[in-house]
Amino acid sequence: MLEQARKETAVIIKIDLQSDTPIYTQLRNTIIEGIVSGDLKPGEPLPSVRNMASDLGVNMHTVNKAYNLLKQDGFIQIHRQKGVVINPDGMPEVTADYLENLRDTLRPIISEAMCRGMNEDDFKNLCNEIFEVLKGRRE
Amino acid sequence: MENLMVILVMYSTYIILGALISFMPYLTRRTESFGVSIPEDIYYSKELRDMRKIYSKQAFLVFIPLTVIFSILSSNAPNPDQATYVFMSGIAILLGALFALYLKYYFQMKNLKSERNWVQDKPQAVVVDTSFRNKKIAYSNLWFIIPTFIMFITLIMTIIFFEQIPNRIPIHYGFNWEPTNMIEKSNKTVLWVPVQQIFMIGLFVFINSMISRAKQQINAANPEKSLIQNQSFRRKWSGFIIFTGTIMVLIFAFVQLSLIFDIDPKTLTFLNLSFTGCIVLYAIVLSVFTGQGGSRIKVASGKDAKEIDRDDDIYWKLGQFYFNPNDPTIFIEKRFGIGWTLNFGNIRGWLIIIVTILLIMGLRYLFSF
Repeated sequence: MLEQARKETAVIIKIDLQSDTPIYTQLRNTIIEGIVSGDLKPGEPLPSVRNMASDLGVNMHTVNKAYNLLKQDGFIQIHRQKGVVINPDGMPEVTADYLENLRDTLRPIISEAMCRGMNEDDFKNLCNEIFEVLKGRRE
Repeated sequence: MENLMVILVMYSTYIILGALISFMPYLTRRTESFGVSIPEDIYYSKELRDMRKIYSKQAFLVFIPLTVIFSILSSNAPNPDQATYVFMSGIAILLGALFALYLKYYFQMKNLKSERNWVQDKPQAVVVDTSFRNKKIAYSNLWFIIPTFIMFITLIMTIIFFEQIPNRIPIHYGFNWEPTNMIEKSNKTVLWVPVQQIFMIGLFVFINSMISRAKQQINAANPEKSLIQNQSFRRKWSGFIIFTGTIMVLIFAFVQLSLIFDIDPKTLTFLNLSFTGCIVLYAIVLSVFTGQGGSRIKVASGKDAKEIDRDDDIYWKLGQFYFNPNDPTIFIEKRFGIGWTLNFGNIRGWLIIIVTILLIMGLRYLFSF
């Protein structure tokens, strides 16, 4: 007797426990990736802080931190009654602040790549590849 | 002859309990062995297969002789109260002995795991489905309208036929549903059965809600498969809880109605025992067919991932008691058993136990016995 997969889609979040990246950063990143891939649609609910922390088996502060970062940037909304939802009014735009941040984040990454002798085209290709993969998941 | 029947029925509990614990290593998740977490493929290794086999054999050698000894002691007891006393202490000894045997294997398994480096070279991950709790994980609590209806019938019949109820009513029953304790009839004491029914309905509603709230445990090595298994597991046990709650309330209704109407005690005993038998059988069948967490439910296998579940052995004291103050989880799947257990590191878990005990004690005090 085979159980049929239920119709509802499963939005799966995976946290690597041995990674050097802190859990709250990983959680924030996976949720943003879920939004980009279309798995998490605007207005879709996310588990409450308590449920998320319980399922991940981590402290509630960790989830709170991730949710607060996402809320500050405008990816999610936290309501008293409705709980946590993906921002139904759409995603934050590319602002001057964001560009500034992006520049600062990319700088050490590009420096390291250059240090290792990676050329500009290879780096750009890698970026393109990632763009394509993420776009592909959206379909 | 009748006594022998009673003994047989009573001690079948030993056999069922003993057999279930003996076969437990075959019912747990495949990522666990004697309370120790392992990668799934190791579960099928010859070493562990042999270990399970020997454990089962030894467990049988523990519980079969104990069952024989205590059933003989019970049948030679001078009165039913003593027989019950022997029975109860026997259960404690049986469970204690089987736990001791389990511990032997737990420590053996723990040593084996640290020797073999099974988990060191594998990436550990935790997987969560964010829509898990938006799905219908358990059956609706609205199903409890049925037992509530039965409770109301019991209550109304009790009020209407108050005069017909005898002056002394049984308040406690032995194993064959023979009254062992009688009490004066009064406005208060006749309500003992409906009150117990209400308490039971509340308890089962609570358990059913717990089933959908318990920690989501998805196997990182194959999330899709494990997700379907786990949902199915929860639904099946939710169905069992609703069934059991309804039947229990029904049994109490029969007991109360037998005070009003002239029901042959033998018929009543037979009816109640067969109902209880149904519940036990249902539980056994579900345990065997679902396995812990749904591990025995066959599903189309999803994609295998390279990650394995997080190693959280340090939080599992003796492999069976979850103690993790950092985890806000209250209910979590048992490691070596079927069903759920508490996070003993969470104050809210303790509160639930304390409130339940206080409620039972309070009710008994209210009815003063």
